[in-house]
Amino acid sequence: MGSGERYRSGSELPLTGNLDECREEMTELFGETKDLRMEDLQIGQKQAMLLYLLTITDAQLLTERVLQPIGRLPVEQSVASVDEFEQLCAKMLGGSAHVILHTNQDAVQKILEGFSVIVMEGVSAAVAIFTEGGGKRGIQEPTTQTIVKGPKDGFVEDLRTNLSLLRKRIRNHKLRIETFTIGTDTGTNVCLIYMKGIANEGIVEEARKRLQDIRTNAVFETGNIEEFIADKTITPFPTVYSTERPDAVSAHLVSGKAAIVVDGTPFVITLPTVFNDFMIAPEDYYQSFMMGSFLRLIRYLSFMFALMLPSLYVSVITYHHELIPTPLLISVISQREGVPFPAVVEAFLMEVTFEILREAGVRMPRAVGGTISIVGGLVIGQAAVEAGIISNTMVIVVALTAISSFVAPYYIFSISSRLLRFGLIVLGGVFGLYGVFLGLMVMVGHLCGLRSFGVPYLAPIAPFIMKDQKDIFIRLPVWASKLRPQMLKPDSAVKQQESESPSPPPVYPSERRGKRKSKGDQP
Amino acid sequence: MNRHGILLPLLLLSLICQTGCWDRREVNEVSVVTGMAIDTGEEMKYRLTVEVINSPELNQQQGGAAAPAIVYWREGHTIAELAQKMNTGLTRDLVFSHMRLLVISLDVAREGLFDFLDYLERSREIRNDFEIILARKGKAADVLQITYPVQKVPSIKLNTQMQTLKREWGGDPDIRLKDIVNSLMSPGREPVMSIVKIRGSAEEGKSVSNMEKVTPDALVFMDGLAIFKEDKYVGSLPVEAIPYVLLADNKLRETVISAACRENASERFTVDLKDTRAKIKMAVKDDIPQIHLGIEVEGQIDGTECADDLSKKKVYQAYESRTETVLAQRLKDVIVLVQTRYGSDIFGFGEEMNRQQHDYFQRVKGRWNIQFSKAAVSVKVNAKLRRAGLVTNTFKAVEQKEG
Amino acid sequence: MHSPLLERISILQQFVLIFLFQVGSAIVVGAGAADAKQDLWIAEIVACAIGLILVVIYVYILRLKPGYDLYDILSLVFGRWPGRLLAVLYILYFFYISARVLRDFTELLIIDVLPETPLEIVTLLFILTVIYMVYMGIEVLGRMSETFVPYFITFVLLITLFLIFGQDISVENLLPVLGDGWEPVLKVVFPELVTFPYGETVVLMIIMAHTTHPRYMPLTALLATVLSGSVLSYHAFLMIAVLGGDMVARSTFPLLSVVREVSIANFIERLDALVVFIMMVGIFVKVSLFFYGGLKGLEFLTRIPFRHFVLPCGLMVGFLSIIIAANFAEHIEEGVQIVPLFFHVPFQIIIPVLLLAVLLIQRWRQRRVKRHGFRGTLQKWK
Repeated sequence: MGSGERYRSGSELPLTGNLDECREEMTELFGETKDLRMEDLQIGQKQAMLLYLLTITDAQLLTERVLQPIGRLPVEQSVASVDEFEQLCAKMLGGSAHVILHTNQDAVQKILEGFSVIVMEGVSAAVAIFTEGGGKRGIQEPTTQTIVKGPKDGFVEDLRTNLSLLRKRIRNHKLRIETFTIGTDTGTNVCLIYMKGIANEGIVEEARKRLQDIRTNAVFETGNIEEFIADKTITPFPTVYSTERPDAVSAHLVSGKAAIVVDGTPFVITLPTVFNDFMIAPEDYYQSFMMGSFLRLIRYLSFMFALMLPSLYVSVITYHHELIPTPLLISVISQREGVPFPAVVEAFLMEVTFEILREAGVRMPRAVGGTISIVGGLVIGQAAVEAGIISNTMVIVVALTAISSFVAPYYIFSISSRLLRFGLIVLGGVFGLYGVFLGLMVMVGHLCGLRSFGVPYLAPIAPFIMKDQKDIFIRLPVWASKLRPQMLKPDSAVKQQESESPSPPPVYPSERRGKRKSKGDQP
Repeated sequence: MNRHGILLPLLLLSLICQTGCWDRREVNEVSVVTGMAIDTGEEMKYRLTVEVINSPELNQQQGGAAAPAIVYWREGHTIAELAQKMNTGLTRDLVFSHMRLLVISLDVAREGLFDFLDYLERSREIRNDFEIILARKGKAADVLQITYPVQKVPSIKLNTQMQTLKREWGGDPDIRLKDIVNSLMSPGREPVMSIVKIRGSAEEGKSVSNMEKVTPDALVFMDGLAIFKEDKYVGSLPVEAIPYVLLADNKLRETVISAACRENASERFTVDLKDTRAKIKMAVKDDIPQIHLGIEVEGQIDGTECADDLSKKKVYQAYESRTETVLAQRLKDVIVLVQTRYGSDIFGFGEEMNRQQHDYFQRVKGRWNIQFSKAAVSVKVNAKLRRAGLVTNTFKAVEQKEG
Repeated sequence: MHSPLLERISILQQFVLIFLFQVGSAIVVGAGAADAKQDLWIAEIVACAIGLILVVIYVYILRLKPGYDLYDILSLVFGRWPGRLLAVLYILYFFYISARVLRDFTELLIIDVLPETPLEIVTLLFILTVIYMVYMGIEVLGRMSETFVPYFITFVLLITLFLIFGQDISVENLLPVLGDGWEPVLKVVFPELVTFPYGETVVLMIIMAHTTHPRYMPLTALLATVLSGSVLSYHAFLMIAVLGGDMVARSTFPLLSVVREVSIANFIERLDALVVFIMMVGIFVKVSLFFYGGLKGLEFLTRIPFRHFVLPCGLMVGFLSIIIAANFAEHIEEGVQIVPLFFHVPFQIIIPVLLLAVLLIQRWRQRRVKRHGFRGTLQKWK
């Protein structure tokens, strides 16, 4: 899958069983790489060679899984044919993951994936044993999506660890994992995960097709893949959801979505994705549904704020004075007295300043992070106001906008509001509310036109799907939503059939009598 | 096609953006007009005075001792023209959307110069949210210049004053642009307006120092109700009559009246009427309109000077019947006064007639005011007193009993 | 997105589109107030009842030829060339009305919100947005309306609430009911009020032909018409209760005047500038649908996907809306006197009724033939 052309140079040959030949070929392919080890072994009567990459091999695993079993073999053991070799492997290496290889190409691939490969004199096959090791980060709390209540584990860079996190959450035989190797230069392992019988087969097939169609040289992050598989790339809105949280991914999988895990990054993408997904935090489901619903409404509100507040302010202040109550207008006028810029320029200046501050805050080493807030808050905010360059109200507006844009539970999503905000400010500055509203209309039109893997981006809202409304603007109690999201057209629609609202257990007449009696006895 | 489909609109957009901003008016490049006054001009038809806020002065941090508002006047033939010409004396673009008050001088009202109303109605900036009042003495412009310590801008002060008065005592008809226009258009209603007057010296009231005194040198106060016939001022009623005028129009919300406890007694009791409703029934008998006013009032006793035990139901009933008689009498007096002296239907009885006796009204609408002055008015009041404050029996009653 | 495949809208989208379409500009202009005065709300109810009959005719035609839209049926019924000629006329009619509706709104905008901005710019901006949306297709337009309709309804309810709290509503303004009899009411009902929002639904015959559930299409269309009739009547009631019949009759944009009355606690007031933009949604849908109707006609005539025509025709419609009238009075006069009689009545009533008549006769004949044919075979079999 896409990796074929990387070592086409004569390595598709079958293994011959000639150790010297093999050694020569490997040296030719890998060159004088320091970390490729080719060690001679004695297995029973036969000469053999152990090949592995030192840098990605776990020494302890190698000892346990390869060297110790070999050492336990009787000295008179002898292997002549491939069949015997396979039998031997099964006996010797049973219990540890091993694969019988027949071509050079497979051997190289396995070595690159961290396997140790044993080639035996006179046997035209080899065995690869999983001994991957090397630098690994332990499971930590996700840094991009923190929550107060709920599971604290996050994905790491290691593919197998990530898969294990998902498997452990969904103990169901329907969970399918398909592997692809993508990237002509990097040969990265990419997994497509879905629930067979829940996820819509068409969507999974589409995802599979799009993954297979990727022609690229390097994949380091899901972002590289995102741009290949997203429906329309010219949009400020993310059309796939990527997260560090295994619980979020599991929830998506169970609701009928597919996930893509890329080796080497802690971000996992799920698809198809709709607008509303970005307004949901996993925590919504871990706390009371009332709180969850409230927070969701707050998030929608703050998305609106982040998108429109500066432009609305600018257009009202420069075009529609009548919309401001008289006392407020008087106060705004007196604050803007002496401000040298038009409101549009003022808004633009402050917004750009804020974006610079934010970018600096993200890229700065932690140690100097504090400086940013001092410089930003004190120098730029307060000094600008006191110098009379910027009005107080504008600072309030920009600050509220900034804070609102941080509310998005999904950091990347605020990019869209950050970008569109500038466009709206310009429209608001040039045409007032008319411009802003036309801009919004175009934006909504664009959103309506977007699709993610065939699912309309604004899905349960437009087209309106009544059955899905239980989990959009507000979250109803878990027992109230019996169906999976219909917009994903899941293969099995019902999530939980007979869930009822919990109610106090019925009191039986005998019990009641007993209670009364015991009460009467007490005095 | 696709490429051009995106490019062309983009080009057009950038073109617009670069030449745009036709209606842009920075907020610090405008002056907010809060009040307008219209006088007759000496040379030309009108003299328009505008009151513009000096907003930094009203800011809590920056505010100082300067004047809270600036007033400028100019003469011209039409108000529409004058409104745009005000920059002959003022620096900034004027915004009329926050206007709170329009003062008309008595001269304008006498001569029926309401031609400017059309401009006010048409203008997009001027809303129907300012009060129209009449200045009885001197120039209307003076009213806009009398400062006040708390609400420093004169028109905002007056507006608040009138709103509060209306809410607490029903002493202001709250006449807006729409009301004037409606009553000028309608054959069954004549316009009214509040009258204000300056107490003290108008000249001294114009300075900032007026705000520094406990008793301001000048103060604008409410002084009655102007009555119009068609579009001409014909006379006025005292402030005391305003609640009754409003009551007859079913616009009264709350008022206070006092009445003698018993007939011919000198001690009085006071009732706060909280909920007043008027049901107006129109009938025609021998071509004479018959106006039946059914008034329902609900209230509480605010105080009494008589030695009555207010814990007794009978006393309540007695007070109720006194209230009914007195209220009916006064209401009738006011209506009869208007009928006989002015012959102008300021109560909107004609409109009610149109609703109830449509055919009759259509016949007489050309001479409705004459019919109105002939009309027979009957008033029936139903008063209900609910409670009497924190004390039951008055101290006087106890005093008398023990003493 | 560029596939020439048929676009289908869902039943809900159809409902929402019809509703916004019918309410769209009727709520802005306040037609018929000049004559009906305080009985306008009755006139609206009567107009809705008659409008329903029209909608039934349109829907019935579509049901008789399922899967065919207006243009197809025209050429099916009247023959290839006469049908094409009628199609051309319809296309011109749709573009013209689209331009008229656009002008209604741009005038409103310039009068109330942006007095200094040239008409050309306001129009251009609006039509560019329409072009973008129509280019995206009718499905996207349907989804967009679905998104905006809650705002639209919330706004109508909010305005009512504000007016009630501000004590601006006085129901006695509605009296006397039918003081001058039915005559002035019926005078505005036909042709003005019947043709203005309801008859214009004829353009939706192009969209309603292709819905996801053709079975429910007629019911949806009727329900939507009833809803918009009640909203319009309610809106007339509101205008009269707040302003009084005479004021409504004199007002250029009655709804705007109503909103100007809102004043609560000296804080929520002077909302008219905001309301203009909420009204924009309805206008937008209406302009887009008429425009789309015309474009589909071009597609029918030329067999070229309509997206090729969007930009040039859109700019043309925008231009037309500017040159359509020299001043506002001319625009309104045309709208009240000429358009209903010479454009609306033939295109909305005469041609559809003819269509229906021909279709019914055809069907009757077919049935007779079938019946006779069947009997014939039976006899033969005996």
